[in-house]
Amino acid sequence: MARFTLRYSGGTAPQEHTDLAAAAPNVTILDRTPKMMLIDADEDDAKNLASRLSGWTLHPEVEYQIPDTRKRIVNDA
Amino acid sequence: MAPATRRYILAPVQGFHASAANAREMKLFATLHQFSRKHTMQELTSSIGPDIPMTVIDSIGETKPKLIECSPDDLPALRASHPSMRILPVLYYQPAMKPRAAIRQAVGMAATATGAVAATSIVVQVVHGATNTPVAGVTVVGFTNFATKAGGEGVTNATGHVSLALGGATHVERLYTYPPTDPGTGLWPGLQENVTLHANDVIHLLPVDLSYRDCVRYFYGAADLATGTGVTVGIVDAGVALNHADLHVAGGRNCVTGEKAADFGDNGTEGHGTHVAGIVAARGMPPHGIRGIAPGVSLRSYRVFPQGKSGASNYDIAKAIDAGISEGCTLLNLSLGGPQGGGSDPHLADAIAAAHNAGVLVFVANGNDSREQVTFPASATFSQAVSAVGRKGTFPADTEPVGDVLAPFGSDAENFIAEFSNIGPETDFTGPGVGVISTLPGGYGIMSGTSMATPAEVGAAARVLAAQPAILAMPADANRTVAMLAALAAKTKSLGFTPTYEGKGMIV
Repeated sequence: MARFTLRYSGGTAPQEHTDLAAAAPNVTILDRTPKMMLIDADEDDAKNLASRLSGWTLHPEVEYQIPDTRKRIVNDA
Repeated sequence: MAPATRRYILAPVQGFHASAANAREMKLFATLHQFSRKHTMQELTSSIGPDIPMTVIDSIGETKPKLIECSPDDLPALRASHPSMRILPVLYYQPAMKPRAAIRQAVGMAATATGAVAATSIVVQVVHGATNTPVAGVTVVGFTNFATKAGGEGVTNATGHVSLALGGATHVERLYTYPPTDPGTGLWPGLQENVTLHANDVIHLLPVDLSYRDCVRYFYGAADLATGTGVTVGIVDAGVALNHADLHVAGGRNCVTGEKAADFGDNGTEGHGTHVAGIVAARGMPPHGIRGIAPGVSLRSYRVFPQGKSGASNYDIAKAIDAGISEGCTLLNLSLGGPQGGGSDPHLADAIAAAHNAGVLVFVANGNDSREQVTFPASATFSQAVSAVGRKGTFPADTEPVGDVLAPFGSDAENFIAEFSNIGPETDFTGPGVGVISTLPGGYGIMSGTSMATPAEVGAAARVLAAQPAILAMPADANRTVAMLAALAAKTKSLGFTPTYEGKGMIV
């Protein structure tokens, strides 16, 4: 299982799309907004869902950091 | 010698065709289509930008993307004069061959060859420079070899003591001392160079004088409380301390999945969002508080870093951008970024493009990997990417910013691009980001980084835009974004660095 983002290219996504996602097998919706969803699923299940949602794009969740300036020791083994 | 040129793809703001509704974009694409038939260097003229020499290598069609060749140094000017256009790198793909195995020289091998090294430690104490009281929680980093990043580090205990495992060495090339930032201790981070340590040496940390003229105050001076009125700024970060006396947070949202939306205060890590917010909008008065660059803005906090954690999801960041758009933000500050060499992120790039199309400017930190490439999302087409500049004389001796001084120096030789700052043709602006005094949860403190340079330029942008009520009153769409960028371009001044380092320069 992994987390994926779904983003709708238009304004507010149609209700039937979110209903379809909610009913999709092996897919857990972790969060939703009027035009996005965060889901937890196997990649194949996520892609299968995305293929049934017109106007949505599927991408893996990515994590960003605060860009730090602190100097650190590098313990190179 | 003429600068080396590179190839780029110019694409419409959305999709594959220039929009008939955007007359300026249509005219640009038609002009470039004509250029493509000449195959010689042409100069792209613009009513709001300089002449930009380029060769149009190919055009897919009159309203479709163009392949151009121009100097990377001209990209900031091209973006500034035609902001409703995507400038994309030309990507080349390779066969998916398995990489050859390679030997890597490991430090451990050299140590083995010369025999085991005793893990001898040296205990030092860190105290407050004015009161001599011990300071707990200070991260002390001693480099026996700064180039290879070898040495020892630790965190001071309740009595201010820390043990550094330096492998028997006593000489350190650099000794950094980083006081805690949440809550703020009001102490400068220290740096001593080429010191010989002895057991029980005492390190004194200099307290921050809130009247001190750091680089932000040098470049932007003091602001009255009304400066920035009419502009709404969203801080997409680790939350903002809602009870800080110098900050007034008008609203916001916690966008972290699984956390309460109303909890958009500080997330209990390092006070990063509080520091960023203070640079833009602190409303205190030295010597008892600090004043930001545009204290009159309406300040909003969009928290994307989870409680107690330092990684933010692209989903949560996109949610924050969408929230900022819907809640009336004019400017969004993203002092965050991906790892060096990280790939693109279409989900987040789409959110930033949506902000562009909704009349919202998104300023993003270049990243702090020491002159490496601009990280994503600063490198996204519609981000306003910000590098960090410092100025000698705006930080005390024996403090951490001393280590950030590095060439190139500007037309005023006291100015330098910070050693840590990432650079590249995606850079749009440079801002003061070396040794910046600002708010922290429970107090004040010093931070350096493109994280600080970015809110400095957001604050400066707010100053400029607050004086442009006609632009702020425009419908919130891409035309307003273009008008805002044109207004900022007119108030942006080169500090004498090349565009790779400073973009168009600093907003003044």
